[in-house]
Amino acid sequence: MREPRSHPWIWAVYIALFGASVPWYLPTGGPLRLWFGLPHWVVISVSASLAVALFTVFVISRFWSENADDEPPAPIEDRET
Amino acid sequence: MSLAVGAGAAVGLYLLVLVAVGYATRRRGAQAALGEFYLAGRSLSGFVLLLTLYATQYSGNTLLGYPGEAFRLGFAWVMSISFMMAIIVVYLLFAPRLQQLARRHAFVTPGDWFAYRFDSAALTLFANVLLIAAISNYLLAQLMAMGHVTEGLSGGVVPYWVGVVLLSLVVIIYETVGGMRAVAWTDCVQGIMLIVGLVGLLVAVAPTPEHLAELTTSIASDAPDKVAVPSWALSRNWISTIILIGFSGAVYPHAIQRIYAARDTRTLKRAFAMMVFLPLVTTGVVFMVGILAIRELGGVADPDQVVPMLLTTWSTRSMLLYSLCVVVITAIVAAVMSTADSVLLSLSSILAKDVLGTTLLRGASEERLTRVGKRLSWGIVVVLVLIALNPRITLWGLTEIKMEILAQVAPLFVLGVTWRRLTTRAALSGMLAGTASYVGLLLAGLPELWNLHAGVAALGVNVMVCVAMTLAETAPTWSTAETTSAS
Repeated sequence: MREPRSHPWIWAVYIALFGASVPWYLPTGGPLRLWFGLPHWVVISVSASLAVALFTVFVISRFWSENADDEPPAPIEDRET
Repeated sequence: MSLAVGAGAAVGLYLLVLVAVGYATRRRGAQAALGEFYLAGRSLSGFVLLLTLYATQYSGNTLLGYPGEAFRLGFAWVMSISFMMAIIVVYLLFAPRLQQLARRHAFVTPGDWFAYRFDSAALTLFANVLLIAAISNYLLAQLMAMGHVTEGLSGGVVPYWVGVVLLSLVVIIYETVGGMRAVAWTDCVQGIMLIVGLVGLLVAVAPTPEHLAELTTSIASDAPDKVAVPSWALSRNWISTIILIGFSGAVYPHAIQRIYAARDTRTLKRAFAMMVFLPLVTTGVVFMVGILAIRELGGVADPDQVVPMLLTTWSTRSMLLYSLCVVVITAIVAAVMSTADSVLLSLSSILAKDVLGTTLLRGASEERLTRVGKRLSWGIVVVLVLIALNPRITLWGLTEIKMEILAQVAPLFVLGVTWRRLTTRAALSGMLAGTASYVGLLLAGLPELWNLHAGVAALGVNVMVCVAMTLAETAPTWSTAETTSAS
């Protein structure tokens, strides 16, 4: 519960959101479709990026503990004592 | 009044402010310790930390090179928003733990983490060689950018060499006077300039949906490729860029040192929570500027000259736009200088502490190492200025190489923090294999493989070697350590 890295689902969501920000899944060669004056795939990409930012704020506030009580990997000092 | 005169006056005033800030933040008698000089006493608060991270991550390339890329590539350059966000996401993998460790064990350089985690002189040395190669390259690019910016934006009134020498001199003065404290506070000034200039410019040109629709339709009729849904090949390159910038940008040594310098975890959390939105108002705005230039300048302009040409055109339209163009020019100078000062400070710390401090100056006091570091900063600047005055490589070619080198160090942070079983031998072998793969691909004339950057393919090799060798080891390092401790 201390850090984002210990929750695999968080990284699955990130992969999905970054995947959505790249329009690899949209058909090429179709007619120009405008959303808010921009090509529709640009709006989809920016929306996915905005979702990444909002999700990151959620992850930081919910899954990044401010307690510094868990001992980390590999201290040389520990190996030598 | 011409744009060159107004911008020259604004930049001159700005340089004086920087030197004044450098002296104002100086703390007499408190500059001797490495942690004080290079990490501002680990006391960077939320506002300062956010702006120093911001001003450091976004360089002159962001403001000068990215509009040119949008101009050349079209709407697909919207990728710059997602790849800059990827840096913050990668930080979430290792920064929380690294910051705790840095405070507990007084890390100053990235090398301190390598030594702590892997306990191998060979690994630390090789990783530092890669970092030094990458950021020297980066610093050289910033010095060259200083010359190009002043020459290009002054319309040739200020020659290239004056820009390189004058701006380098200002940077080295405030950096050696105040160390990280001066760099961080000047970064605040620079970061504010950046945001005000960019957002102001976008508001001033006010692209309403109707205006945008007209613009997009116009570009679609003249250059349909710049508006069309990207091909599968371009999408692969986009994904590769997210991976490359995400992992490389997260392990910039000067950014790592800002994680060390954060006052506490809460401060770092707040800074990252704000930082993740900044691509929208930085690379997002810059992207729109490049798109606007497609119609304003036509399809024949040199992408590197897009920003100077656009600012010159816009500045003649109204007093408001003239003023904002002056702010943007100062912001461009600020972006170059804020990256240069941070990289220089980081480079001098690595050379003084990790290279000289473990060889010729082994056992030297922190005060002596700090003094040596300041002298090294002057030496580095003199050498790189001399090279920048006789450049043999194009500016943006330099920045591309450094990202792919940095990527080979990323597993030492990401896997080193997240995977307890990763062994020293595996990490070193992975880094060697990744670097060799990258150099081999470049020598073979393959900067891209199936539209993936050579550095990303090499990072794949690097990680595979790390994982395979670690799994092949019969006794994971931590078990061995525990057994040794117990016995």
